[in-house]
Amino acid sequence: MAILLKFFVAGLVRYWLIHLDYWQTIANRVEIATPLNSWKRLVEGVYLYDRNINPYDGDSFHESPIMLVFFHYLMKKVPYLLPLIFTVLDLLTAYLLYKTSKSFIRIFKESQEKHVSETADESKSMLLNDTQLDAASEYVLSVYLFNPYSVLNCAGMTTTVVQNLLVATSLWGASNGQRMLACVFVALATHQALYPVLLIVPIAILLADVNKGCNKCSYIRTLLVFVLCWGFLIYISAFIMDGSYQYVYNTYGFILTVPDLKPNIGLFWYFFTEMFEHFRLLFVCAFQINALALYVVPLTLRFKKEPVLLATVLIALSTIFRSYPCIGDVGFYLALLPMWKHLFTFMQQKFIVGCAFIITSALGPTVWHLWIYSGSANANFFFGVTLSFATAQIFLITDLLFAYIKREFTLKHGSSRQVDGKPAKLVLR
Amino acid sequence: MTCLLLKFMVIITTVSNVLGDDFKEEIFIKPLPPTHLYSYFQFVTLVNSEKSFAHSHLSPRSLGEIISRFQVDELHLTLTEGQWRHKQWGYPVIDAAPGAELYAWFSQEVTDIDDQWRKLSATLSGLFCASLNFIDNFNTVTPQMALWPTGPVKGNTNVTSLLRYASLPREIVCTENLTPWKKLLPCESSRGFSALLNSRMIHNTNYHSIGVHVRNVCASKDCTETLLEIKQTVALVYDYKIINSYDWSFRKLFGQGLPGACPLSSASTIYVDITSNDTQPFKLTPPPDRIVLSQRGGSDTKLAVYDIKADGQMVNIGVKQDTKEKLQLTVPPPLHFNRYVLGYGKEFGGIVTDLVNNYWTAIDVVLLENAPWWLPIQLSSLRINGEAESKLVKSMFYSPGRSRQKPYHLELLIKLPPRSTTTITIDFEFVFLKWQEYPPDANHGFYIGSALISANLPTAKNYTSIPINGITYDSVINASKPWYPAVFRTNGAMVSLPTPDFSMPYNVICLACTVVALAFGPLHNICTKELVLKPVGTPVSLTQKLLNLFKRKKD
Amino acid sequence: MSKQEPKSEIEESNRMWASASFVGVLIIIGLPLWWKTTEVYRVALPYDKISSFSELPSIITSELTVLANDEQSASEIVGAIQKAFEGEDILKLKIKKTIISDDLHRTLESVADEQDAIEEVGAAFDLTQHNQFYVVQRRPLFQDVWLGGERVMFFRDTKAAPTLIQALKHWVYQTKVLSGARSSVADSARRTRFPPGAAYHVVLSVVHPKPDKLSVDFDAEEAVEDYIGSFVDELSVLHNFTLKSQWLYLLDFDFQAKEIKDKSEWGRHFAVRQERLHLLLTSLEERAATHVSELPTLNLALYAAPCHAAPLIIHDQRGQPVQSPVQAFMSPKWGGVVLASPGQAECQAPQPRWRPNVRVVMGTFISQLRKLLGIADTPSIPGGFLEPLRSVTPRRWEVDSLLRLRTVEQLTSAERTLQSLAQLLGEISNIVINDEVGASINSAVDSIQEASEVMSQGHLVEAYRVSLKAHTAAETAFMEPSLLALLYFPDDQKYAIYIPLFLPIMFPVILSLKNLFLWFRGKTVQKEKTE
Repeated sequence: MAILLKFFVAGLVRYWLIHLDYWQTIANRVEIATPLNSWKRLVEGVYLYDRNINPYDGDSFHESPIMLVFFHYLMKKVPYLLPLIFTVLDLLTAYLLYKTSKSFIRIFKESQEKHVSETADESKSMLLNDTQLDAASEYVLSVYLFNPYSVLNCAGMTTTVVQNLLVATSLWGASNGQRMLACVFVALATHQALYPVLLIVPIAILLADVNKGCNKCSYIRTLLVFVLCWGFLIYISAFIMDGSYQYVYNTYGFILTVPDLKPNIGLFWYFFTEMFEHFRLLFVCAFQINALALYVVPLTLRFKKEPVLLATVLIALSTIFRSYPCIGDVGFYLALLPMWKHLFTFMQQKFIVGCAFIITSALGPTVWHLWIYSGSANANFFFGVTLSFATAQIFLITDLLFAYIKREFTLKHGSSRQVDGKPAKLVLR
Repeated sequence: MTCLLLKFMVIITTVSNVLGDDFKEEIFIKPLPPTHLYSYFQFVTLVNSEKSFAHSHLSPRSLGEIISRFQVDELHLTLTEGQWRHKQWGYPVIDAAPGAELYAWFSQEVTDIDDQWRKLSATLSGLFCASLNFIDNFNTVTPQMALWPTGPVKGNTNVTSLLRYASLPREIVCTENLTPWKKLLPCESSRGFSALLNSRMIHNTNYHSIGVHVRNVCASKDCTETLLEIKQTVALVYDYKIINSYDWSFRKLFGQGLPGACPLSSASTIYVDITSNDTQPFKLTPPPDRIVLSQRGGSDTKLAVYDIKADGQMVNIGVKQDTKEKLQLTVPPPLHFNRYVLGYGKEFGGIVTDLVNNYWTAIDVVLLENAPWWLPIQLSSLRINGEAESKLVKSMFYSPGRSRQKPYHLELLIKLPPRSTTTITIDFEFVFLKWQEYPPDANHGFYIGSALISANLPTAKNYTSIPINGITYDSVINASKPWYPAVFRTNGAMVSLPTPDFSMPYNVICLACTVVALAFGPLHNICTKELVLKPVGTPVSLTQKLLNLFKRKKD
Repeated sequence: MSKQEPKSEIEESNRMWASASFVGVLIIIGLPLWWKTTEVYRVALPYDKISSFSELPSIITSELTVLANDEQSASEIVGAIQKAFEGEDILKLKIKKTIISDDLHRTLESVADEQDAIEEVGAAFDLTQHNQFYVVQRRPLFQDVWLGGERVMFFRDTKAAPTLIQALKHWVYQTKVLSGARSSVADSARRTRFPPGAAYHVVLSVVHPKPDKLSVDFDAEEAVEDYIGSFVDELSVLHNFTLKSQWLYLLDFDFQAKEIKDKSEWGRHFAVRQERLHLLLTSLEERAATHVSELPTLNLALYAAPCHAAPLIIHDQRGQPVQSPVQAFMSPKWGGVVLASPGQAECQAPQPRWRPNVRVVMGTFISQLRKLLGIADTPSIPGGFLEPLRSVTPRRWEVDSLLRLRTVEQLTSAERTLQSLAQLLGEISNIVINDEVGASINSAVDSIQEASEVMSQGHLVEAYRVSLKAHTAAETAFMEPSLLALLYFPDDQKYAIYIPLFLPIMFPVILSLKNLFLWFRGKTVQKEKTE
């Protein structure tokens, strides 16, 4: 009952925000709308497509042709229903996350049971019971429904709403062991934004864990299904565009080569505004490797046993380091954090990170206004705020991971910090 | 004396006819009430283009070489400073966009038109000392409906694909451009009408524009033979305040009188528009050779004509106003327009073009908006009189631009309803450029070029252009036609793009890389190290040792 | 307990593999990526070939056939020529010795005119081949040596050998000018003539300052096409010429000529000082717009002096009037100017109208053009008779000599250009060498080598063409603007850009390399142990 009320209120808030007079301001804000996901560019692309002008000729439209055709149909047939559709999609994402968290809790409980024998006796009190675990799902739902990042993201009618839904669906499918569902939705998400390709690793591990059986075959099967789905989507998109693959330059090429330097909450824009031409290619490659390839293997090797944590951390890292992040992405991984609320006691920087989030979220629009509208600040102010926001997110993630390994150690060895009777401290070596 | 003069003229003309080229110079002066004066200079050379330009007589060899080397059929280049106010001043003989404007039709045999276009603009840049070499693919468009060649074209040719148009609104025109322009004239600047073009005086005006227009004209009725017409034009608009009186004369306008006509010209004529003499009487000295009444498309014009001889006698044409106080109301021309930029802040904005149709019938116009690549316009925000799907738009062409590769090109064929104002609005957003792409004075702003408005006017009110098949100004007289083609340029605009901090490249690199490395350290440690318990009291690190050293020293 | 040990081993191997993946991404992918994306694109150049240019043979071989009446005089002449020419390092003569056949001997003795004699020789031998020359003995000769326009030189007997050798050296082969083409310091001939090229524009400008006072009846197009056209047709094997003409009216130039009374028909003349002449060229250059042409332009200007300033006579540095029927001057590497003045009768007519003497004017231009294109002056040799030019066409052996000269010049210039370019590119590693420059340089090097070979074999026309190709390719490579793209980006700034990102990242990775290495070695040792 309470859950239904939450859904209702959240849906009402989003619907009301879309119909506000100030909706255009929300939809145009740089934190909410990036060149990749903004509503304005979607409208422009559909408009051009309607008049038989190839939207990929110019560089205003960067969605995949599947989204183009989908929204073309929606805008032609039911344009008045679009706010409702976006709200419903967001609520659906929240519901899917709720269900996913419930499955994750179940898996977590099972693995906890399995490893009871390994825990130290004094740490047995740290093991979680059912009420604690159930509360986590409630918190996940509340966070996604009510955190201002996701609310504003939906109110801005950005296509990140769709992307969040796709990622949530694939996580849900993976947690329930449905390989087809998970792979198809991850392929769709990758086709839209490229960075969800990292999720194939935790999803493969999850599927292998949930579907008991030969692990390696499961991995291979997952990978195969994913590659086939993705290839099929690419082919279908080209088919929509009369067989030309030109759209690849506007979608994947745009994400990878970062030609548009419009400010956003990420690190790329100012860095590449001020970069010398000769080194541009090197640093684009370096940053994309950092976002896509650098941390996947090590994190997987370290957190093989916790695919859920791996998924959370990978989503968070790709949000921080991707070329065009927006707060919709931030809101999404923030919603996944309550599943780990048992780690919060081990986190040491909660207060700083929380304050940093609040302050930078408030300061960002302020210095933006000062720079662009008042003309009394300059680009460095907004850049500083962006950097602080990224730093806060990085601290959040690293703190979470530290908390996890500390809890792991404590579970195994107990909470006493003594070696041979002498006081000791935990270090990484 | 006259008999001698006549014999002079005969000899000169026969010599020039023998050698094939024909050169004529003309001035047209028209007062623009209440406070301005328009003078238009035109120097026309007709060349027999059957011979190649290897042997030139009166035509400039450098221009001929450019035309033949790049296989150009028709060329129009103007360098302008100032904005022509169509609403107050009517229509000029040739309209020009502020800055530099170049457009050309190439011959059909050219295989790579873009390459020839680049080479043509680079060579013209060297010839006229103007920065036309900045013309490249990213600021060139191919107008589909707005511009048409004024010379004869073989049937069944797709001329639109042979056309290239570029405009550089930031260019200024000054002595450096006027001097090489004058050197193209056969009489250069010592004799003839070009002697009046004293750079110190003519660049001190509200509007000055120098132009070179090359086209083919028909030599015979059936147009089997063509001549090449090279026309060099200067258009000036003076404010009476510049010359400090309402009475103008050549001495006041140009600093000197006219030292006779050019001996090489076959006709040197001055036309003064004295239509306003009926309402605001003035005295024209010296008295004109003849007065011509021209009825064109429903409007009457009275022209005073002077034929100038090449005898070296100084001619100073001037006007003395009879009444000092004047209150003249200007009647706006049938079609005028205004263009401005909307919006505040450096994030979003809009371009608004107002087209006013004062005439009692509808006029069809083609509006060409040429937005540079750093000003992305959104076609979905196009509104005509506030409506997204307007019935006034009969045809539309849109080519979206790509960053650093091509500009945004929008052409609309609009039917303007009679006696109405049509407002065309389109939104744009500001683009953030790389720091090396900003010009040296980044906060000066970026210029948006003018839009082209191309119309077939049904009336010749305020219309002073020469008809298409006419060569000299006297073809204007009684030249009534069913419609009058005109291409207008609106005013340009300027936007201020948001700038990054140009002093910060290394700082930004350091800071952004620090944040990235901030994530790397802890994650690397987490993945490659294990948690162990280390007893306290184990050997101190180097820093601790140093600190202990200091402590002991204090004691 | 035992379950924990393999578990900790698994964990340790996981950690090590994680470390290895960091190393893999950063060092194995990162380093080559860094190298590839920030390298200055430089195509490999044949530096060794370029530095070995001095070892290439640069000798032109030319064929000389000596035709004498008997064996003894033939050998004597041939011996003398060989001795005289053996010191030459640029020119090598392949001398053929032939005895004149009896028929030809009789005809040569009987024929009165030299022109007929040449025709007879021409009937017997092929005179149209470039790079061949015939020295024929003919008794009834007034001078020791007679040279006309064809590739035949007549000599009287063996006593004329020294004159013959002088004639060969200074008239036919012009060895001094040839070696001047190769020297590093330009001699006077090289300073005058135009730099080598495949094509030139020739522009005849008629300067007419006062068209209203005097009418000049001169068909510039016809004059240029007729006279200059016939001249340059002969040189079509060397260059392509485009002939143009233009009229420059109302060119205001004040010669500051002093009026001097004299005894000519005018009673006066206007003295133009020699020092002021070059200032006329500045005014001409402004109007003539030569920079629009894409090829080098030879300017020929005919200045028609107006009646009130006629006649113009040039006074040299000592103040003495230049005694010459035509007042003209030449500017090296620019062109020539003829100052023509109308006669008093024409000026005093009611409508002054003047027709310049086309032959005289164009003849002057042709002589100027010869010098500008490289046909050098022929000094007078006592005992030798050089028939004066009867028409505008150059002499055949002059064309051959020009071919040789230009070949040597082009080859030398290409070699020098490439050597300096190679030195520049080798020393400064910051200069981008893109594919076009590399291709030009390679093509130039190949052409130079081919040209030297062909030159020494004596195929003159082909050698000229190949050396022209070499010269053009070398110039193209040298003048390429893209060479300067990265010149001013210093190295230390590169480090300032790399360090913020890569140092903090590489630091832990490199430190972990040691652990990784130890672990791998331990693993292999363990594996060996278990095996």
